[in-house]
Amino acid sequence: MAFLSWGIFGFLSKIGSGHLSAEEMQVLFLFGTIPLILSALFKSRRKVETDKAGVMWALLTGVVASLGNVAYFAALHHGKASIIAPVTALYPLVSVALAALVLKERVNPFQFAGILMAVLAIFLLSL
Amino acid sequence: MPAWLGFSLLALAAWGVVGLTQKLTTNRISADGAIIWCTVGSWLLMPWFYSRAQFSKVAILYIVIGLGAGFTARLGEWFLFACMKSGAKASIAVPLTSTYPCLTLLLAITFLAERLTAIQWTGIVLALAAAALMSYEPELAVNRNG
Repeated sequence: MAFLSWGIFGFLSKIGSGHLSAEEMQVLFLFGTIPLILSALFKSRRKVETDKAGVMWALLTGVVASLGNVAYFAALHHGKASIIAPVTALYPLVSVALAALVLKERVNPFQFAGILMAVLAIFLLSL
Repeated sequence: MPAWLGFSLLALAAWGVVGLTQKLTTNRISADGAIIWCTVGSWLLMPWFYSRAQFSKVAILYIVIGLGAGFTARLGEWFLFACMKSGAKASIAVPLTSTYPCLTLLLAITFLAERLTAIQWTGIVLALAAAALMSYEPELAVNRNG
């Protein structure tokens, strides 16, 4: 179902980005998330955590994710969804590299092979 | 560099950074707390985005489509969390769901008549395999009981 939802998300984003600016798409995107966020808030009856560092990283995550969304909608405005969706799905390339550099996490052989294939894929798709 | 590629790489970089900051977040607070505060963070730039929007010129259909994009994106996350809470292995679920562009590709080719060259098809197959491989963590595949 996650596969289905995200696949449809990419398709709807392409149609919307053809007629709306990236900023307009992001505004609508955020409003579209409200029902599920409210549902999650209603279900989690826990006290909201306020660990300063945790909250700061979470807020930064939200801001950077929003900027990523705007760039994604702008890309869809200019190009084909059939190429942009696979290229942007390669974001673990950056996550894995940063986790290795910043958190000193080990890159497993599968991830290493994936990184090489991702770089080659981006090169081929940019031709 | 074509505009689509530049923006795609920006999105890829931003979402890649999110992968790291999410980890730093959940090292300090629970997943539920992270979702709530990340949502607050994603709304911080709303005034700036809104100031640049001109909805009066937009057909209602595209407004509904934009809302649908947000809804389906969050619904996908919800399904992934629900799937893992129900006992699915992250090592299987995450790589499997990372191939979601297959469906976007299929829909774009079917309904938007997008056409691809042989080189682009090769790149797409490599990209999908790469996304699944990079999300795979063998240590997570070990059964929780042993």
